[in-house]
Amino acid sequence: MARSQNDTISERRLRPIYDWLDNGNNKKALQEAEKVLKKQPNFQCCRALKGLALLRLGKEDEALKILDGILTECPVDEGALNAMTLSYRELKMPEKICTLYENATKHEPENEEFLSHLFMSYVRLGNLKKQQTTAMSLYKVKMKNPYYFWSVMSIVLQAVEGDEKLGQAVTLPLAQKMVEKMEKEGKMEQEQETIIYLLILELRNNWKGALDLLNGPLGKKLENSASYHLICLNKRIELEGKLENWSEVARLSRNMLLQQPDSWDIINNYIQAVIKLQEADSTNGGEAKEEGPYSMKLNKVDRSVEEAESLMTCLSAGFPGLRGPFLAKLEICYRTLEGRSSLLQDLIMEYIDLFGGKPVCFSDIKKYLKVIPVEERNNFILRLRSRYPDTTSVPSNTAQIYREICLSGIERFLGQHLNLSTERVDSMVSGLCDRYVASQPLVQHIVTTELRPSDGYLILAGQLLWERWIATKEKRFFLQACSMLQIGLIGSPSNWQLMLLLVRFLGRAGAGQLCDSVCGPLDIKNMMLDTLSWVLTRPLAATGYVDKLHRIYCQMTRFYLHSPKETTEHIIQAYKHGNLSQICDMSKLKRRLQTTYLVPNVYTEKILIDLNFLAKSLDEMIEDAEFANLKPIDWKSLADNRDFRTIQSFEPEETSVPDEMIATNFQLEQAFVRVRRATLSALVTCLKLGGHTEPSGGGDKGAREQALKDLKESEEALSTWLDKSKSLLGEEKVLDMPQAPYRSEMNSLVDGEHLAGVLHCVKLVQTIMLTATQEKPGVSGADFEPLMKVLDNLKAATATTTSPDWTVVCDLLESNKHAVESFSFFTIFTFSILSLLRTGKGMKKGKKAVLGAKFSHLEPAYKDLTANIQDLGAALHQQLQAIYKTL
Amino acid sequence: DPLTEMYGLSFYLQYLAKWPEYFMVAESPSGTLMGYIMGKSEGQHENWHGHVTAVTVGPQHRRLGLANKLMKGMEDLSDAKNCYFVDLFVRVSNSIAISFYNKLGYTVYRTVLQYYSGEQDEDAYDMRKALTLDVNKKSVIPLPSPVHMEDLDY
Repeated sequence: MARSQNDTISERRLRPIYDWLDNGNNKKALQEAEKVLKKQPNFQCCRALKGLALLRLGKEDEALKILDGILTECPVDEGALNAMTLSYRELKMPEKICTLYENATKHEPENEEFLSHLFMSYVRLGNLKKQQTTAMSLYKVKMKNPYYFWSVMSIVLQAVEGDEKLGQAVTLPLAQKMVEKMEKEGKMEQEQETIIYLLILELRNNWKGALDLLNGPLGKKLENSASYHLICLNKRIELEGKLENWSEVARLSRNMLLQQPDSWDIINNYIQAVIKLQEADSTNGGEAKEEGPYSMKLNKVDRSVEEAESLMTCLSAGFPGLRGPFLAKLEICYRTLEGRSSLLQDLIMEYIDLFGGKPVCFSDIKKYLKVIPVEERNNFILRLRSRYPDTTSVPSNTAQIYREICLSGIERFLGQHLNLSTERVDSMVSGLCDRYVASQPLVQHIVTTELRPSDGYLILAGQLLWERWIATKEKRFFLQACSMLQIGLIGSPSNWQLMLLLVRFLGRAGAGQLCDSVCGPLDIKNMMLDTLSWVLTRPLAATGYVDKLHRIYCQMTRFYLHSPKETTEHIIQAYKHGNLSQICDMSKLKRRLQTTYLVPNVYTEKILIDLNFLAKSLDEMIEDAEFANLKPIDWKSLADNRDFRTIQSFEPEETSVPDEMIATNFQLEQAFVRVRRATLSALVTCLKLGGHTEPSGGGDKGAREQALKDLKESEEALSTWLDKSKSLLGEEKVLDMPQAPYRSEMNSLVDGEHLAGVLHCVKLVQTIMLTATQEKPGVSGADFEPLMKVLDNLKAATATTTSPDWTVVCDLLESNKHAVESFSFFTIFTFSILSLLRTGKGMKKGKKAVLGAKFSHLEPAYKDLTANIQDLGAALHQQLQAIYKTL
Repeated sequence: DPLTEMYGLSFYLQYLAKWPEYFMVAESPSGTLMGYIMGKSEGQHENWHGHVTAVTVGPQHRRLGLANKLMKGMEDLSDAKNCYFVDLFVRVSNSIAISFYNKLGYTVYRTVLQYYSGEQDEDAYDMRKALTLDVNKKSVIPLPSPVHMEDLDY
């Protein structure tokens, strides 16, 4: 009784603290907590809340001290545990939450609540094995199905995310056995449990087992539920297909098509099955064909392409306006193309007749246009144009606008826009612009939040102009395209295709700031940062528009930091709600965000901007270096999530972006990240050295050894990746098209000898360090020579970098940006060199440094080096002023 | 498309974790995403209903009846789950969407004041369509006066 009274009093005392915390008044919460602690100094929950308040007031160190103190006491008080979980989550220390509940469950091993928290804390860490055992302990304490299936799911995830062989041999069979046990005992309750069962069988390629499950009582129950009905029907067809029961696939998919003739997956399954059946029949001598008109009754099995075509004819008559059955006819013809090329062309024509007035038409038929033999393409276009003459008459409705754009797109796709003369391009562009102007009365009423159909004219004209601009270098094409696209955007401000094309034009000409203002309305955020930011970041980087770039990099860093954590919280929610089947997809998404190469790329570039451009003093640079968090990178798992399909393209195969090109570009991007990371790592090491090292090899030996090790690693990475990049650049095919990746930034890094310069610096710093401790024969003036040579070359290059040709301005600006960066790098390296050479402790401002006795012979070389760097700085300054004037 | 609310990752994941069956996407034959719909079911007794949180179709794939199909899928699912009605919120200025929902049988049930926050706050219409279970269509009888956001249960 006395105890519970105490509890009530304590609870009452805590209430105001909770209220203040909820209201965001952390200061009051802290004061209140301190007041309570005066009366009850050991009150765990109150101390934890004090920790939380401190943390939210920004006093993280103080908070951590209190929280870690409570942690060692192994608390079991629910309030304290909750407050600490919250605090550690906010401190981003999920591993401490595990310790917290590991301790609590040791104390009370049967506490369901604690075990459940422990499970979730392992989910946060992604520790699947511990998830598995904790869920089992939970199930032993409380025989609830969800706990059992949490364990099963944790095993399945081990198989999905881990070694495939082990998964097939050990983990998946174990998961299957566990579910089978529940099935035998009649304990399966939730629909999701059956879904997981199905997933396990499928992961084991046990198609028969999966099908039996689907057709058994559990499957039927699943099929009768509102949420999984359709999934079951589709899954059955898929599994029959895996088992090559083609007549069953044909029957089931046909039954579904009678209801939903627009379902593309089903159409594909149906066509595949019918073709397989026809092939089998032709080798077996064939089955008797049905006479008379095609029957639409249920459960019929179509065994010939003819029947399939009849079905599609009937479906399109029964459901007018649907694309599915028409596309199905095209697909059937495509898959049985031999000798049917003219039929395919007729079907394409028919499709254009019916759907040419919809914006989707071109992308629907692209696949089929591709297989029209090259020698028949001209004829095809002639036929098309005799049907829809390319007259100057103005379209009278939006469908006609869409059709015209589709037809022009087809012409481009079939190679009619290749090798055009300037005169021809001029006349085509003016034709497209005339159409655009003439069609305005038809689209004026469209609200600005919608896209205007006529914008497509401008996209096509823009693509034509791009090609001419690059080929002739005449800036009038560039100017015409930009003004045209800009005018388009006035009428249709939401059209991102116009924006993206305009950004590519502007970026190509080195107009970084304009790219940024055009991209503004695109509002690149969330997942788009991962897939589409490349369009903007590269021109910004090339033109040295670092303020904006830095903001985007910060935004991206935050996104990459928080999104995987958020995803984990939702994985936890999915466990709690029993929606286990979502967990695999969510984990995949989390992994995708964690492995994108942009994570190390963006972080490295952000810190480099901090050092090179934003730091206002040497002290700030040293501080940046101290805070740089250069975690090791799992280079092998990096992935490329950039999307090169967003920018609309009617490109023929000759100018479309092949996957290999994207792959090579990605390799170069990775090489770029590697050398930049190595450069940054060397800079950070040198800044720390310069900031702390005692002169002439004194100081902390461990730190010195670590620095040497880091510099050696940087040197190796730089020299390896410099060589590899050179050979990769030899293979790089650059497609100068708006939808293609940018030319790799490695080009200007390697061409300008910037990497070679950094490499020489890194070597020189090491030689001096080793001389200081006499591990190496003494450093001499000759060791400065290679670096001096690079400096001379960089200086010479600054004299030649202006051009009236706007297609090269971006490259020029980029090499200038690298030169400025290199200048900054060399300055930092020189700073650390001086710190190693000088005598006396600390580098005092305004005080002339004196070289140590061991290094006094280097004075001329060192002076030459600094003079040379200063000269480079002056030359760059002059150069940038000259460029500024020209632009 | 500025009228399509761009949600953060978390928002989508929350729906996937809680109401995965209410998330449907339409993919084109070439594998691009044509459109999606997401929603949930909530409420009690005669307020047990399906809610459309977002429905959108990419500009390339408009005029194909795709949104109708997505909405129909959502309604069928809610019907099968014994919901009384389906509802959704729409900006009062989004006349195209409003007339689209009207055509599908949705009517304005109430106005929610300042539902959308932004540079200029905007009101929302709560539009509803009765399902099979609501025989007398009680759930869609319009409220006489607008409500404030704070007074919304859902």
